[in-house]
Amino acid sequence: MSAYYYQDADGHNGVQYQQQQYNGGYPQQYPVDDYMVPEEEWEREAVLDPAWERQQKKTFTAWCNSHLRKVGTSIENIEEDFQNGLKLMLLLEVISNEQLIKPDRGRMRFHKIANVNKALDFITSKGVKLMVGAEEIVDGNLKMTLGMIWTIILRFAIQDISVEEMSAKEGLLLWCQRKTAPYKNVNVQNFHISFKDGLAFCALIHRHRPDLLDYSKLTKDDPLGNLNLAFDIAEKHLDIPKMLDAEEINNSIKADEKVVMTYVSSYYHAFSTTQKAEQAASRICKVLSVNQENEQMMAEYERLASDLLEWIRKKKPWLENRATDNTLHGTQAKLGEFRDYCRSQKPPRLSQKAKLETDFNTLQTRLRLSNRPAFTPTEGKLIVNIVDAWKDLELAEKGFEDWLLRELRRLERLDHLAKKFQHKCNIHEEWSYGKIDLLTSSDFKRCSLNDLRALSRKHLAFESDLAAHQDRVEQIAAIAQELNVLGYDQIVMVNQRCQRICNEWDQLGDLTHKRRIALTDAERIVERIDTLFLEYAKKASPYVNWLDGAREDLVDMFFIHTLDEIRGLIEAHHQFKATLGEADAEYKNIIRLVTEARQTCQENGLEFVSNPYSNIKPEELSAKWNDVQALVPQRDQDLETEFIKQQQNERFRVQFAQKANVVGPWLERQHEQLQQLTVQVVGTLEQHQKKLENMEHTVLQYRPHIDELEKYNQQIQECMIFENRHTPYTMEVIRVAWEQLTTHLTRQIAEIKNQIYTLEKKGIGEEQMNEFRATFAHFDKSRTRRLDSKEFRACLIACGYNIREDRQGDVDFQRIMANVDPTQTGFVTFESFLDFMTRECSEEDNVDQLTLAFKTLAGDQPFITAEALKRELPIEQAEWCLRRMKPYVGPGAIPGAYDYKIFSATLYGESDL
Amino acid sequence: MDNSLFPTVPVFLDRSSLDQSWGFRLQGGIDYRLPLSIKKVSPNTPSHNKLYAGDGVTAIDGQDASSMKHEDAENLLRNALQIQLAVRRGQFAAVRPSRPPVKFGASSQPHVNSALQNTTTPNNYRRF
Repeated sequence: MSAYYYQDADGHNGVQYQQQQYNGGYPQQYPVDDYMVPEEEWEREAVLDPAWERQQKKTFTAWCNSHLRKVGTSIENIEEDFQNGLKLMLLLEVISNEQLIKPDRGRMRFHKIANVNKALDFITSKGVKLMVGAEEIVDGNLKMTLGMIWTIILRFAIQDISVEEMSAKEGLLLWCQRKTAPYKNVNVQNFHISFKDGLAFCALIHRHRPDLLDYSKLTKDDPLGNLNLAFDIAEKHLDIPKMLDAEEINNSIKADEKVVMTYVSSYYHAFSTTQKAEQAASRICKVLSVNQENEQMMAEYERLASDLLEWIRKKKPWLENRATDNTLHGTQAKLGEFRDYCRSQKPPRLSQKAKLETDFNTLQTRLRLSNRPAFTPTEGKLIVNIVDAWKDLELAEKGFEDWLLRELRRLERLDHLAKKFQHKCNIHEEWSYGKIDLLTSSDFKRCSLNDLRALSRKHLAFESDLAAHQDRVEQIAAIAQELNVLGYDQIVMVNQRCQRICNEWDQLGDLTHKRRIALTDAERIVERIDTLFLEYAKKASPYVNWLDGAREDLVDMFFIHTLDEIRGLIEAHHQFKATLGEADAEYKNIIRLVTEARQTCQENGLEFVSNPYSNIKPEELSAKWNDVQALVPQRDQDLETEFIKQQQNERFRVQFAQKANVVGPWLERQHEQLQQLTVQVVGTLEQHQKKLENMEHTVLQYRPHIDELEKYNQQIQECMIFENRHTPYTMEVIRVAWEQLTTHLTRQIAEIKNQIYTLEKKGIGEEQMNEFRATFAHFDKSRTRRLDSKEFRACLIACGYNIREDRQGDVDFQRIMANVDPTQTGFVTFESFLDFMTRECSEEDNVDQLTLAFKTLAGDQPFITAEALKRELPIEQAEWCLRRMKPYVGPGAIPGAYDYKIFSATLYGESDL
Repeated sequence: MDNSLFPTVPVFLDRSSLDQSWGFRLQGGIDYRLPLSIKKVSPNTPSHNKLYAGDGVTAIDGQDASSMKHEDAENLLRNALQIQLAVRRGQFAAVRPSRPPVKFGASSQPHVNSALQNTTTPNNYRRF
């Protein structure tokens, strides 16, 4: 707001208002004359913003025309049409509804000035000081003209709107705020922005004429639509011409507040006229509404009265009805219904009755106060009629409740008795269920003595149980009688059940007596049978035990290794046979007991139950006895066969033992001898070899003795003889000793030969050989005749090899290991050690040396002939070479030429490529 | 044998004709129970400065050489103009003594050969 009102007093030639005390603020209170806000900015605005000027021109023109049309004229160009002052005077007359001084006739400039001055004087006479000169209007100065028109609008269209002592502008604003307050999306704070979206205009229209537009369908999002809608409706229905341009209002950042105020003031005037008409109408409505209300109350009374009477008419027969369906449930339901009636149906009716009485009184008072005739309800709906009907209702109600409770008590008693009857019958029937079956059962006919005694005692208990139930049966009969008397509706069923129970009761007594006699008889017979069973059990068990033992003995396997043992067995068997006569007598005695018990059962019609004292069946007993009898002669024969076999076994044992006792010690002696030869090498290696070979010869000569022993051993094994106490030697021991002797002997000879060969081949003297042996033995700490890699490494270092304790040393050692242990066993034998040590000494012995040798034989030729070979080498070696040599194919080859170079390489597993 | 001490090296050889010699001597083969290895290398041949005496051959033309017969290896090499080998450099290079060996009681008991003391003889038959 302050943007408009600032102090800038210099160089103005526009409209000046009479008081210039303002400094930018907008005072709360003005004197009536001070509604004009200082407008120094008028000129400035105009200079700065031609848009506002355009807006003002359009709006003010429209405003002027909205008044001028009442006198049948209009203006088109605001700065021209007021130039002569005539239309200006006309406008002032219309809006002020006063007569102005007659205008001067004439078209001269001074005439015009005079007329304009008359108009200006009129305005001034209304308490407005104008700073515009008549010349400026006559000259068609647009800015001055617009300023003058605004002064007129402010004075005549807006100044009247003073709400609560506010300034004109504030008043108009307040009016807008009050009228648009109910509209949530409208908030009028000023006259430039608040109206931009058009909703404020629409709200103002809707507030006064809701029939003209559907406000709920409008949104902020369509300001142009809203503005145009408001302008169209205002023009069409409120007779307010379009003074604003929707697009300009919407597009300008701030609309010119003067134009908006002008337009809004038109709304105010339009609505204030309709409001007067409305006030009159409302006064009329008030009077009519009193009458209408009274009529409504009368109708309501009539309606309520009819409704209440109708309800009473319907309820009364229900309360007077004393019919019963004889069931407790039905009666209880009826009582429930009655309680519901008392609790929820009657109370609203009671208040309805009270309301009727109150309403009636209220209505009569109102009629009296508004000077209208009293109300008389239609026939039968008087207050007194209603009160009588209500009394009747309550009377019927009382009788109904008494009767209901009486009926309920009677039915409860019947229900209780019937339930008691059912309950007792149920218990009794549950008890008696199956009793007849039990009493007629012949279960005791297949019982053991103990079971039978138990049954007898059980029956005794039952008899007293039966006696105890006499009372209950009598009670059941008595309840049935009372139900008959009280007229129970399902009495037929009760009587049938009662009769059935009484009949059953008589039958139970009868059957109990009969069973008692039968049980006593059975007990006596079963006691007799039991005695027989017991006797049987006493005898059968030890007898079967004996039979099982005997049978086991008779089929017992022979685990016999001596003649004495078999003789003992035969003697025992003879003793056993002597007892068989006694056993037979006992058998017959036992069988007799079974037969007798069986007969007693048959004679008395009892079922033959199994023997409770023994689970040995007589059939089983017989079978076992027969089995034993059959096994005896079989045993005789087996013993005889075994006796002969044992005699033969003994002969085989002695035969093996005699031989083994010779061979065993011989082998031991040989081993000792070999051991001595192995431990010490006495004399030369050749002498040693001779001794070993002599020994080998001797040993091989001894072979037939071993074979003979093997033959005896085979006999023994075939006869399944495992023990031989005649000799400490077994065949396995002899065999192992023999094999060890021969293999060891062979190996010793081979080793000695090898050493002799090595000595010869490497040309190592006896002395050096001994040194190698000593060295190897020194490092062979474990005496296994081989060195592990660690021992070998130490040995090599001792022999002068520079094998360092670092990675390079590891690499060197690995190379040597690969040489001496190509198969990667991880160990080095004396032979490979010797080979390695001596190979280092005779490095010349390789492919090249061999090739060189052949070359010499071949007379420097790259090939060799068969003749040359045969001439130079022993025939055996020559032929061996010829079998392996390939023909020579190189340069200068002749027929029959052989390639000694490839041959040499092949011998060493090498080839030149 | 700890092979990690001898890194595997790829060696590519080629020659102009089958008549030209490769220039190395091959030793061993599964039939000789010796690993295939390079025995010696002749100067100014395709193998010169590529193979070295003592190289262990682990593969020939991508085939594993550890179970190859000498003859098979030989044929592969003879009939090729180009050959791809994998060798363990220096695996079988010879090591020689650097100083005279220490003597171990050489003359103390020349006639009692303790190295021949036979402790490998099974003697369990003595139990009877």
